[in-house]
Amino acid sequence: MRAVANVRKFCERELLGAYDLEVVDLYESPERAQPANIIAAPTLIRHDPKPVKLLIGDMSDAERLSATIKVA
Amino acid sequence: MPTAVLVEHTELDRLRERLAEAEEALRAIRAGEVDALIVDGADTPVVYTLKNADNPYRLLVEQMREGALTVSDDGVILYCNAAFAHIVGRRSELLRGTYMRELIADPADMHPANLFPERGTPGRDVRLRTGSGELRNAYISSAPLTIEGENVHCVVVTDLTRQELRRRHDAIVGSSVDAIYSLSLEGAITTWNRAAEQLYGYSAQEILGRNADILSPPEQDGRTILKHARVLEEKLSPHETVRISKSGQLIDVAISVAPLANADGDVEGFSVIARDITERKRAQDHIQFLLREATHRSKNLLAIIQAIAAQTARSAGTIEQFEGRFFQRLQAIALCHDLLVSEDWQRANLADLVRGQLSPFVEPGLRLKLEGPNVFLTSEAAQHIGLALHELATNAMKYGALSVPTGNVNVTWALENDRVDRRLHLRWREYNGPRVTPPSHSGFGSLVIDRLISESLDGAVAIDFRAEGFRWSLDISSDHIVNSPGASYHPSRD
Repeated sequence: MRAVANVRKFCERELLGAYDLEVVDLYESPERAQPANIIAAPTLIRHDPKPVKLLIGDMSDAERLSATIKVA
Repeated sequence: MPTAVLVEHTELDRLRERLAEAEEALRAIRAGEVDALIVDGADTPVVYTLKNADNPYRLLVEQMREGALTVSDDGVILYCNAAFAHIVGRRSELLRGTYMRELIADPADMHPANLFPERGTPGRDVRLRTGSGELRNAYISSAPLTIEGENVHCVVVTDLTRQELRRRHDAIVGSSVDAIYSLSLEGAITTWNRAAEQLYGYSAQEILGRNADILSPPEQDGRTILKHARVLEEKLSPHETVRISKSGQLIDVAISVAPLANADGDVEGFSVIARDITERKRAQDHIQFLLREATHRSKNLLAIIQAIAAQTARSAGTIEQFEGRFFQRLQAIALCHDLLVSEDWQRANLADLVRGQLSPFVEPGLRLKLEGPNVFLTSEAAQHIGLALHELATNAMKYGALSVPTGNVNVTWALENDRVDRRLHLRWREYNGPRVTPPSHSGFGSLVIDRLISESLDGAVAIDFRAEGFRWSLDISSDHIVNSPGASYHPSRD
């Protein structure tokens, strides 16, 4: 819950709404974990632009979040 | 070889990235930022909760007003919330692991088939045994669940005692003769019972949500809610004040205020009980009036007794004569007072007065005839006419018609209209007595039946010593009459 809120806030502020965010509840859909190589929740996956990047945790660290999401 | 080196570098970068990811995952797990791990299961991955990802749901269940518990197939309590622990008056950590049947009072309800009926079956009323041994009515419903391959029952328990208390409370408030309402901390009216509707004239629908200030007359300064808070702070007992109804009528009320606290003990508003004390106020005023009257009458009475004593002494030859006449006159006055007291000092019935004053001498019948409409005299008129009737009867007994067995007396009265006023005519006529001769001297009796009464009541007295029988008549204004057609009501004229 907190992770979703953190990511949403970061994206609104830094990407100014130019993003797509899908929230998957792994309790409801555990089958979606395997193809994405997810071993822990919550995990944030940046699909686009490539390369795919992962961040695990509660998304409270803005620096890590920025390193994962932002294009250098 | 440049190509091989490139491949090696690419592979190395990939491995570095994987290592960074793995380190990042480990860091997140160590830092407690991970809620769950996803592990490959036989068919699909299984989610293992590391910390309270289900916290919101757990909080929801913990905060529920209803009792909630999970019970194993054989009836062991696996989990229960605080509300259930509260209902059964036991600590939740001690309840977990115990058999639910130990909490059920009636053996018939203990059977698992009754406690956990099939899905879709309605719940049932049961009696639960609390920690203190007291029995509590509850409604139990359950649904089967599977948790991690185990069959359990999800049970919801509603405390009917609380509902029952609520029902009783509503019934008491609803049928109360006192107005009972509650206010928010801002003074908005939040509940309003039927007596409040009757007292203030506002229906619940039109007043709920409005500020209680509309019940205070405009001349009362300050906000109602602040006054209530002050009453509580200063621990004032019910206080009397004035409120205003919807129609603008002022109402005397006694107000009691109490704080309304929620389950956590925080004050959320006030409850107010308003009792209509209009009748009590009226009764108090009446008592005050009676006290003033009693004081006034006592003074009058003492003055009359003083005058009677002096006048009786003047005409009495001996002490014995004085004593006899004086006490008879006191009795005549006492009788007037008895009649007045029975009517709250307001009035006395004329027929009762005549009968009472003549009763020591003659009973109504062949020798005494009374005739007249139902008339009530003011207290002042009753005292004077009563004393006059006493003197007339005493004279008749000594010298007139009642001094011989054949004589008789007629007392009649009538209300008659003259040109300006409605008047009362009272007539005394004696028949068949000894031949009448006018007295050679006049004593206190003559004074009472003639000058005293005509001057006191501003009336006209006619005395006729005709030989065949003595006659006396009094003519007074209807101002001396109360509660009679055409008469006005003057509770305290003198």
